[in-house]
Amino acid sequence: MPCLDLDELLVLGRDHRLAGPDVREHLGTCDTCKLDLIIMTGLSSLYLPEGSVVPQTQVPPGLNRRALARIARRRVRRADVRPADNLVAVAIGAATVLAAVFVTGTVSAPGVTSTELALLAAAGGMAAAWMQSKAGKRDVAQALELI
Amino acid sequence: MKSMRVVLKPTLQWTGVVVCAIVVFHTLAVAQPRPWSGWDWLSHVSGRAGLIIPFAAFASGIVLLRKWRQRVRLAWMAGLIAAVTAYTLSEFVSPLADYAEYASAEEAFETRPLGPRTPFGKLRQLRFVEANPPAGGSPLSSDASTPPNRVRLLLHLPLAMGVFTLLNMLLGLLSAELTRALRPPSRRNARFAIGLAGGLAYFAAGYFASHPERDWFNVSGILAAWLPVAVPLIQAAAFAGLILIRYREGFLGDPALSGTRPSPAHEGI
Repeated sequence: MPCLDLDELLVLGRDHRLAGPDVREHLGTCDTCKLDLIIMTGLSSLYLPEGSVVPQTQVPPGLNRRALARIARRRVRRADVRPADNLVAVAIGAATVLAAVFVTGTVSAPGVTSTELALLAAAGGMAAAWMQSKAGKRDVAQALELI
Repeated sequence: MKSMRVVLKPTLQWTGVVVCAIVVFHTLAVAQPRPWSGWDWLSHVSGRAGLIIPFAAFASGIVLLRKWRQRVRLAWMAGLIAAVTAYTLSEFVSPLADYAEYASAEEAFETRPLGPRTPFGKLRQLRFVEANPPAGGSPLSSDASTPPNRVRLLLHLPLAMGVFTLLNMLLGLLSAELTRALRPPSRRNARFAIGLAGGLAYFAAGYFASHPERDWFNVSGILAAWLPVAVPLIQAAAFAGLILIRYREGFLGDPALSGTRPSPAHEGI
């Protein structure tokens, strides 16, 4: 099916239920049409019939602040780096440096001992855990900027 | 230009960190028969950097998720820049520095009778071994007695690595898309693990395909160089399939179309 034109997207933006099976299948695979439909859904709220009265709603005071605080709390909770996350990062970091010395052939060079390899793995693991903690702090700071 | 810098920065950072770790480890742990000269260091560092860049390109693919609108153009350009840089470092800078070291020690003719091991040097070597076929059981360490199939493998392997660089960038983008619903710490770990596993899978396939112990008089070198590229291709197809299934389920299950693009605040490894 070809991409949808703007008229079709505008009609669908007002009511998604009008989409037939072939349109739904196309939207499932075409990112451009999907993004256009999302934009049209937002725009369709502006296309009210001529002469109609825009409904007025009473917004409770402080709603915006409370909503943002709730989003920020959720983001902080999600961004929190737990000990298990750090443990996984240590394991992957250690595996990465060991893989790097293996791939480049350094591991089979003369004089390399298993103690030195273990120390390298530990250093790689610590670096990965440090990066994980640093990124977690950055995410928390970004979430708090919402408030 | 700014977008290109943003996309290539993670590849440079990861390459820098990993190469530094390798060089420090090599300096401290590996026994050296003689002190290293500047040419030795240049050859070592550029060779390692050329090898690590294709694997580090995965990190740039993750950043492409933030540049969704320009992703195809940026992926091609950044992938080509990374692939050409890796090829230049490992196939020109490193062998020329290595040859310069031997030339300065006046041992060049004994150890590298066919010149530096650049692609042109390897072509010279291929013509030589085709004109003077080595006998079965000849040592691979000598340039003049390497079987032609093995020389073809050495010529094609860096080109296959270039294609792997592009594919690895695509894999980074696909895995970023696949993991974007996870908690940020789990997402970082998942992307890290996928990148490592994908790199190791390609390396393992390449290692077994190009093993020196194989019968290089009967095994095709070109096939051995290009066959491992099937591993990231299969991986990319599997990831794309998973993403497509998720999109379709998300759209059909939610009339409000849940599959929107992520916000920049949620991205980054």
